[in-house]
Amino acid sequence: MAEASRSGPIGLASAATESGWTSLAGPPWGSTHGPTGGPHPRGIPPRAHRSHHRLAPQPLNPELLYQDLKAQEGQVLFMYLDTANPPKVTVGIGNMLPNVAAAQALPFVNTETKAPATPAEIEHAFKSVAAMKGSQAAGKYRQTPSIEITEDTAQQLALTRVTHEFIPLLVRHFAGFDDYPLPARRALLDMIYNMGWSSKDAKHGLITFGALRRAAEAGDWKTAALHCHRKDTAPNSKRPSHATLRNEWTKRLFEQADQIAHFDR
Amino acid sequence: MTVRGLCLALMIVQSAASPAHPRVTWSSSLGVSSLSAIEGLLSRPINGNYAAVLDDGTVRPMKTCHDLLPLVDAGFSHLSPDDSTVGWQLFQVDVVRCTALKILKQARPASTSYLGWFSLSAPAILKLPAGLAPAFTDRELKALARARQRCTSWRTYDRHLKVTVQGDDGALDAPDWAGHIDVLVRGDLNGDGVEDLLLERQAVLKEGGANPDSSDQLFIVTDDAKTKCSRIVWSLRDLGG
Repeated sequence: MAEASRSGPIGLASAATESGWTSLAGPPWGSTHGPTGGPHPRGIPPRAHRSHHRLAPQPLNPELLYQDLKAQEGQVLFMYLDTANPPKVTVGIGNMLPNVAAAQALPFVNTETKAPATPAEIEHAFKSVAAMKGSQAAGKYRQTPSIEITEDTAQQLALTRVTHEFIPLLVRHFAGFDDYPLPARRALLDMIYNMGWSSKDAKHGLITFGALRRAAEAGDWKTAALHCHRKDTAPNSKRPSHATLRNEWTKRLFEQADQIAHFDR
Repeated sequence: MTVRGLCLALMIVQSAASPAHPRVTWSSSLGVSSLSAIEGLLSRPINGNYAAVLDDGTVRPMKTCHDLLPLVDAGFSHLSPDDSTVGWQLFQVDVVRCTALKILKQARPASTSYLGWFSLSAPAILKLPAGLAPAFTDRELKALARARQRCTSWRTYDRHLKVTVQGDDGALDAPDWAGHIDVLVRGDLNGDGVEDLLLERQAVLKEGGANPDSSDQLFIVTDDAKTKCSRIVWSLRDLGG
């Protein structure tokens, strides 16, 4: 990679040498321009010029991103219904399947026979799940026998979305995104993969985190860490809720970004 | 009689004991053809190939509900083969099913009922205790505890909750979560002769992406002459949330 490893805080020193994945390693769209090459939609906020690095930013490592998404977002290898209204059949790390043909295009496996699932099996599983009521935990949708994709397929699907959907959105809406410290980019990718950029009414999604965006564009990661909290859930669980842990994880990433930025300054 | 007097009389009639359902009834979602079939279902192999990993490293396979239920009661913190959130969510599905079967097996026809007012309808669901609501924050958890003490109804606790009943499904829709409530069993579930309800309440956060946090809990709700309000007498801990 162009940037050699550098010493830094919190054990991130060697990450810069890991990626051979050039589509994520650099800023293919230009760091201050949207994916279509147009200017940043809101212009470059003045404070964004207080830029973040003397050194080139560490590249995003696809394996690291996949592990982030798998751990934080959750991976479901069988088809289930998401929480959209109306609910949509989904698989992997939130990959919506609009119809039977889209499901049949994926290499599902019959987990009982270990053989590739037939188009008829996939169609049956898709229709069974589609006919169920929405707003249930993913586990409720597992069929018998279970028709599932492999982890490799789930990874490929997730990273394709990251490359073609989410990074362009972040580049477009967060001025200077490509120059942010790696932990900050990981945190923002997790948030946008989790919530999307914006719901139709703009009341949900990363768009609602205005204070976070302003802090990020100003390179103020300490403040970003204070404004990245997503709605928590299930405190009545025996274990700490996943959302609680996820919020803590995201906050820690912004705090790490602050340490890296401080080190660079 | 004035309108006020009429309302008062109606309220008294409503809160009084009424003839109980003459038998134990249960939801078709449990897949139970008759009460005598339950033992077979409890002994049937579970698909998940689960094992509980105890604190001392002992691995205890859970091949049937009979294996699973005592281990869940005793508590354990690591689940094999998948200790992830999704793994626990899948496991919770079997915990709920096994627990509901066990409760149904122990159910008896009630001799008295104060739940004559309950049927699967939006007004009746909203009259249930507020404790059925999922708690999304510590603040909500505290508010729920207060609501329980005050015998607050779900309608009073959450004025934004919309309930739509279709067939045997009570669909719940709140601003930030959606879910379902199902009446799994109706009968005397704790041996006191008074009719109870075994309810399953599911809730999934609307904002959560691929696999948002969810809650799948069982509750036993009863109503009696003393408290004059329905209350939760037992609930199943949510392992998968």
